[in-house]
Amino acid sequence: MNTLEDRLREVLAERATVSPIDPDAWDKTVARSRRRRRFRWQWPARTGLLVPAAAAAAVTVIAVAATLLTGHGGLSSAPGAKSTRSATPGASPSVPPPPGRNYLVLREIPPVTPFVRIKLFADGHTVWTYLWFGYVPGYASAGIALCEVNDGGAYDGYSACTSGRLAAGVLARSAATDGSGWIRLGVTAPQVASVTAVLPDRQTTVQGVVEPVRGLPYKLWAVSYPVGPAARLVFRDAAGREVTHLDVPGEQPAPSRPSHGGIALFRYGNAMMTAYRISGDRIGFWTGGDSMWSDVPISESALNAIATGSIRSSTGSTPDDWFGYAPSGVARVGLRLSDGRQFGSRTIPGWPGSGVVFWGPLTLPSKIAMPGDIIVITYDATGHVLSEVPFIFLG
Amino acid sequence: MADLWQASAPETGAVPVSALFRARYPELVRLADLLGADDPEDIAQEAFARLIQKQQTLRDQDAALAYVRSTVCNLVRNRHRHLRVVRLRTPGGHDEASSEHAVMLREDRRELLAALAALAPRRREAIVLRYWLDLSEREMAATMHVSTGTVKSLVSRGLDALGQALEGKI
Repeated sequence: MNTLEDRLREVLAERATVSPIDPDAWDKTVARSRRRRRFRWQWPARTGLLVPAAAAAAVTVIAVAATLLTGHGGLSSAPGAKSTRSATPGASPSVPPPPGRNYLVLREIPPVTPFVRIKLFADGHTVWTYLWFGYVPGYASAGIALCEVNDGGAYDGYSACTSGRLAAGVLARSAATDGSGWIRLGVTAPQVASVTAVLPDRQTTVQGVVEPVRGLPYKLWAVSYPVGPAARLVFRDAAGREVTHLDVPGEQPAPSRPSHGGIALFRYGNAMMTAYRISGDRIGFWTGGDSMWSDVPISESALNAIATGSIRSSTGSTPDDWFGYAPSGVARVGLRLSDGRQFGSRTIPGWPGSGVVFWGPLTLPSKIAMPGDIIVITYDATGHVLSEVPFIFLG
Repeated sequence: MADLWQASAPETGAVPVSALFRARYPELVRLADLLGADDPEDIAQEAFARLIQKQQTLRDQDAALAYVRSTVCNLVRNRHRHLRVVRLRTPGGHDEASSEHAVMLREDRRELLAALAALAPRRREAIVLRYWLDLSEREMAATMHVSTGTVKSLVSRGLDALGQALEGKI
């Protein structure tokens, strides 16, 4: 055993002794479990089938089979593997049921399309991914969201939403991952019939899945390949002609803290939160020994909101501190919660010519429902609203 | 605390969840904390709530423990995603903000915790499972739903990254 391993054991053991334990934890856990059982029978409220609890089971089965499981593809992450389709969707006991309203994300972004169910393999494990489109309630004009819930594998229970839009003239875009780095998915044009990931050696290809979405003028795609390498995702039509491609960068090493050029933003703990421009025209933040950085260039995401979620008071409460950057010209940034409360911050200038300004920190209540409820609002110097963007669309 | 352990429980399945809860809840709260959760107790309670739902399908106590550990890991990643850490990796710097912790931890330990927190999530999980829970590679593979080869790689790369981050600091 080396010194580093010894130190790790000591430090982790010491650090682990300070976690507080709620004496009512078991009662809360049981109550949470019981709430979940009740929610299971209320699906699918969005489609107008408000199901009385007594009749719930039968109606739920019918609703799920008849209206929700329209898409059902499959793929293998094994190099060169062909995609396969499930012959009997929903019939196999090994196929998990669609997510219910116990998932907060389903309540935040109710489906306006049927679920699309895709079977994937990631790191040797089967993952069932359920996808749907919906709108942030009250902000339909912000565009449609693409949401997912995973069942199985390392990311069992993983759920997330991102923008599901395919802008005019764009033939494919990557909208999300399953969080593991193995699975990528997004939207593409209706003429696309297949997607293939070509790995860096140009010999290894991985077949993905393309599925139509009822009610939308474009399709969903998904592909799974080993985490780490860069890949080219090639989209083809039914005749095998390339329609478009996306170059997906591989895993990148953590950037080093630049030696100069930082902008001090605010005090964070015992240090200053400082922003730097880093390689690739991205933005990184450093405070003390900690760092965080964006994976996308400023030009692709000039508006961003970041929650530290990590400042802990001595009482054990965990307020979320929010900060971020916005396009130059924004004089003030507001965060509006679903209950109407709004928190605002003036901006401070970024680097000349960079096109961004910084805002924050804003301390939000520790028990906001979820960031999916947050709308990020930008204002100009006269107080006019420039944009209202659901938090989930940022990044 | 006595009421905590005596509360009635939905014990209809093969795995007695309340017994597991009694034995392991604090450990799972601490696991969530070490993985950078902003609300470790919420994570641990959610993991046990899911275990109650799934208890009929789990064969024994070991499988239940592996399930609930795995769920804690997944939920922490999930929470990070919600906190805009998909593209912006945050190290979970609550150690820095707490004055209590600040006086407890020597500077070198703080450096090590900061370096650990800056690791990619899967490497951080592997390091915590290996060096805090002392899990075997097989147990880690079951918890993380990866192969033992992947576990070895994650631990090795995690140690390398920690070593590089701490070079000249400790």
